[in-house]
Amino acid sequence: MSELYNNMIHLILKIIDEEYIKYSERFFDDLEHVKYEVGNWIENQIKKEKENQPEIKRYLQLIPYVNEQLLRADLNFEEGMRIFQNIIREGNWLLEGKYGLFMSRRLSNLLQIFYDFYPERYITLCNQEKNAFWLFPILDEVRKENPSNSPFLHIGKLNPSLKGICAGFVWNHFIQNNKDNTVFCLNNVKIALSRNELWIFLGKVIENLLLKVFPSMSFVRNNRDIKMKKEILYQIISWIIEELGKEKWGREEIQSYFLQSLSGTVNRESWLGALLIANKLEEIGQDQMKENALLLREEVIEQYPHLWDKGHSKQYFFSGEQTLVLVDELVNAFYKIFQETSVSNLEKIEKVSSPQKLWYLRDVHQYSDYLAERKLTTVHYLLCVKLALKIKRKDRNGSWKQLENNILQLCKQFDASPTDGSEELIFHELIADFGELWQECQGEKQIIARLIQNLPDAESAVFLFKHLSLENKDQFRSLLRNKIVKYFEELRDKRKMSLAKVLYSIQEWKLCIWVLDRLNCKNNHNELSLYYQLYVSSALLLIPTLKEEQRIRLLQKALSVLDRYRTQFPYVYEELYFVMRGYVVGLLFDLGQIDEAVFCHEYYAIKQIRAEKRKESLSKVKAEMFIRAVDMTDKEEDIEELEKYLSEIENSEEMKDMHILMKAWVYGKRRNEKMKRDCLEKLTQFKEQLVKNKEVIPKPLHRLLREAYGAN
Amino acid sequence: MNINPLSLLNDQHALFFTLFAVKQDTEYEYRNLFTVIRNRIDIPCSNWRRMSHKRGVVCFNACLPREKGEKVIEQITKNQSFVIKEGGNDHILHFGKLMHRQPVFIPNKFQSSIDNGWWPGTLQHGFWLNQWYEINTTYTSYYTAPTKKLIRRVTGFDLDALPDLWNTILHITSFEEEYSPRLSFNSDTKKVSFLLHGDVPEKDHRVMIHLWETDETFYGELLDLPAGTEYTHINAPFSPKKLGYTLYRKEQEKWMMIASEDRVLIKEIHMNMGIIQGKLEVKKGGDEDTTETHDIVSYSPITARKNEKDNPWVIAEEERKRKNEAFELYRLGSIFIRNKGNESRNEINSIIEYIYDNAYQFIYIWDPYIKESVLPDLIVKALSMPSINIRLLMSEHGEGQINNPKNIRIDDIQYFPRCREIYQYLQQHNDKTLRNLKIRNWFRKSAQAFHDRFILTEKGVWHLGSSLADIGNYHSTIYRLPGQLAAQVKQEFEKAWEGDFGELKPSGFSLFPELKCVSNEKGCDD
Repeated sequence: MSELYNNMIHLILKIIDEEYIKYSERFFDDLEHVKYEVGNWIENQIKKEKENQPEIKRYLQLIPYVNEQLLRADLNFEEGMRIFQNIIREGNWLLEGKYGLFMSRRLSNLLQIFYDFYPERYITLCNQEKNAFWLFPILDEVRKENPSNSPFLHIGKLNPSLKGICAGFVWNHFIQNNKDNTVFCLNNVKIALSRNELWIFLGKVIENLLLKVFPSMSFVRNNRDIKMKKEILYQIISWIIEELGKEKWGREEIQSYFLQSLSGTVNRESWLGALLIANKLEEIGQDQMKENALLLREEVIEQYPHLWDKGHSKQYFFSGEQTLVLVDELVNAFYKIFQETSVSNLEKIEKVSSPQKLWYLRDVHQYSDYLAERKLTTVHYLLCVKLALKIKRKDRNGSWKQLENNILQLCKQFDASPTDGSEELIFHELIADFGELWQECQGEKQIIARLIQNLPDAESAVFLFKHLSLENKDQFRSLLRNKIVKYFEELRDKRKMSLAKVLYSIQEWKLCIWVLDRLNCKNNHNELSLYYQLYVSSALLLIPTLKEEQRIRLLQKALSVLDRYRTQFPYVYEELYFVMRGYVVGLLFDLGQIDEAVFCHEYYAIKQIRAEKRKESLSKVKAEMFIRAVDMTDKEEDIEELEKYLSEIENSEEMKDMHILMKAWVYGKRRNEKMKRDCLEKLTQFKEQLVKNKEVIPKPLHRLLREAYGAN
Repeated sequence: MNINPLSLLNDQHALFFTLFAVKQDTEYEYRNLFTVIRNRIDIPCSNWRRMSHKRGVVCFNACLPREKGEKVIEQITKNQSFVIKEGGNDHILHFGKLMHRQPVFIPNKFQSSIDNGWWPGTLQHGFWLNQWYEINTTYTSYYTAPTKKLIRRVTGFDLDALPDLWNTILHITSFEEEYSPRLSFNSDTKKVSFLLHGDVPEKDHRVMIHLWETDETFYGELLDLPAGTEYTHINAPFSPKKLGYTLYRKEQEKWMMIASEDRVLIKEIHMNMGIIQGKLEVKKGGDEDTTETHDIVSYSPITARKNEKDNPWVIAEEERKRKNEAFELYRLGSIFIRNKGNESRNEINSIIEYIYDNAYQFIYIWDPYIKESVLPDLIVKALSMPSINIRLLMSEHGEGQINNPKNIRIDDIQYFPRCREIYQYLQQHNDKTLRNLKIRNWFRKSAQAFHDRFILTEKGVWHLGSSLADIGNYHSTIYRLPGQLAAQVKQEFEKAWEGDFGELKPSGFSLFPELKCVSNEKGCDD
């Protein structure tokens, strides 16, 4: 026995000072006899080695706020998770097997052996020593390609702080960047953690994912990443519903564990996660699930409007994009709970300042409170308007009048443009939704007029038009125009550009061109590129409604805009540019403003372009130009080229009418009268749009249109 | 011309009353502390409400329809008392004997009281002030910090800075809630745009726009905004450093001022952003484990917008401004004199003589290094003007120990060379009556009791860069202290004269008219 013991120790001593190797079967069998004694020896060695770990100390100095907590942590689960996050951020510890750097090889090998042969004792030792770095054998096993659930069983026996660190690792390793393992990981985590810990884990994970789905700074936006994070988020939500949804959820566990850990570092906008879960629960619609959904919603609504409180101060924080989604979900939740009485219930909430109160805050010079309250009030009214829209209340008295007046008063508070991006976003949404509500309730004209008069700038007035019907837009267009003219001179060029963009988005092309004509665009690539895109597409959309001379003037201006872009950036390759250029040149040629040589030159230039994106548009332009060129020379040319273009746009729904029309032209050229007739017959269903857009259709095709639809 | 700002209001306006009063001995009777009436729109009218605060201060407020409100104003100003029915009781407010001040317009100028935030924050475009003030008021004991704070919190008025508003009734007319003017300079297009934002009434407006190129020069244009026109813009002949406007509205065939404002434009923003460039490790002691790490941060100013190259006349004006300021200070008696040997010594002496000459009540000299050489001028002054009070406060610590600091003798003077010289010099004039000259020396064991030097007269207080004894031997500054600071120094001089130097506990003796101990500790044997 003693000899065997000595041999084993000798062997282990050899192993632990070498690169760690796998043991032979033999070794394993022998160990059985002296397992307990050898275990004692290893444990003692570990304890001896532990005194000597300067590397860790040096490493810990790099992470000031984590410091010694890691070595003898007396933390709870949540703190454990947080600490792991901090290490990740600071040092990438464990992720790339760097733990070897932080302890002697002997110690790490000892720990590995100890874990391999004495998992129970290893866990006890870890629980005693509470050293986060000693967890690596477990985490290594978790990290394996095809992990089993055994390491998770071990994790379950650790004390809360170490469990927290492991949970943090699992989360980081599986959920952060990979959507394939989410379910597997969650299932195992469920084994390892107690129910309360599981809620904390889920809360933290969802909060973190929401943070990534709604990045607060737009310049770090990575759409692919956002899409993936969204998918993971919905995977987690579905998992929660599947695994936990059928049980009855306690108010206590939701309140103090789930929602508590779902709170973000700044505010509680991430409670959006809870509302998303509630939606899904309700969608499936079992009784217990419905009850759980109600519970979640009640808990969230109870905290309204304190969801935006910033820490303990009286300030609020609104992230913008996420705020809007949260408001949408809150509307849903309020409606589900209060039904028809939602708006009146909401208006009773006294924690939100009325617009009158805002005057007071300004009077007594509490400007920071003022700005915070103004934002909160804006969000509040946005919620009210959205709710009213949801209920589609038709009665035009009582609180609707009040709401109308309050929003008007709120607009008066903005005597200049909103102060920051998030406020602007929320305010514009409020205005746009109010426009919709006004239309829905068939409000008085005078309200829109007064609102336009009192909106702080031209851009927000444009948003009022966002959801209005065409008829209403026509009615108020002159007001909008006056508003833009009035506020135009005080806008800097950059604001003018964004005004043009907004005008384009609500299909006010004429005003868009008006603004673009009056702004001095700098020779900066992004700006100039946006400028020509807005200008030319507005112009092309406007053409059918204009008289000939106006058309010529506008197209010539559009061409000069395109020329300017090309002169400034001759080497930038953009398909869109050539598509637009093709249209403009073609139309000018039809109008006799470009001579044949120039047109041919342009055509051959565009013909050379090989498209990566916008293949169909480019083919259509090439086809149209081809038809003009052939018509001009009146020569029998190789029409195959045209057919190639046409085959490329064959499947496009949008271009179907033009495809058939051009096809008819091809048959006409080939003297295939029957096929031509067939095509012309097919065109009858597109009559309206083709006649409307007649002015943008190549001239050689007009004859065919006449054939199809008669004289006009 | 009698202007009534109330005529500017229309029927939409309601009048909002806020009255601060203090309880009298008789129940339900109060005296006015501060009353303000403002016009508001879109606010529900309400009856009188009362809120009691500490120390018997009560606040009444009400929002009354315009006509009713006007009647209340009339009642208050005519009867000088007013009865408020609230909570089933009749509260009688007394306003004292009131005088009416003709309405005036208060514009928002750069660094004016509006700009400084002493008036409510919504009065940014200027306002009409109609005021009634009480004569012979005696309620100063209520002008306490809590009351001021209360008034500030409720109304936005800072009565600390505007103490003349106590016991007055203010009626303020402004249009913030209805519409407001907006003047801006667009540096992209070099245009100045002026517009009326909000519910603009269908009335003729006229606006005078001012663009300041420098502090002294501006360009102005008078523009008409006939009813229905709400905006106008002009090409700016230069990039202005300050913008201002005065807006008039036609009321009953008369142009009434309704808003006036000045704004200084910010042309440049400097930001100091630290960029961490590395870590600095500092090893402490021999033990390797104790190292401190510090971030190495470099600061470079980031300029938001490059300053346009200033035109020569702009630079010239800066120079002129500096000269003007220097000239003004010179007139007041502040000057910096370069050392040019005798010439500068004479110049500065003539200035000090000038200061002495103009003093008729007192001259106090507070200077640790006073020497015998400064005395002749002062003795002449003292002798020629017996009513003047001259005191010299010096600080010379002895070279040796005084036998008994509590009982100073002639023999002890030998340890104080300057004092000895002065003493001997004054002994020569023993025959003359110099009752109006006093000299004291306060000192610590081996250090002076004070350092700064001042000349104080009833005309002002001057701070000297160097001691009177050797002024003019180097570059010298004499700076006349402004306002409150002078009063403070004078107060401190009186304390110092008696030996109160704050934390320091010096000993001292009177050198003239008689040599005696003046230490403030007890036990001077005399």
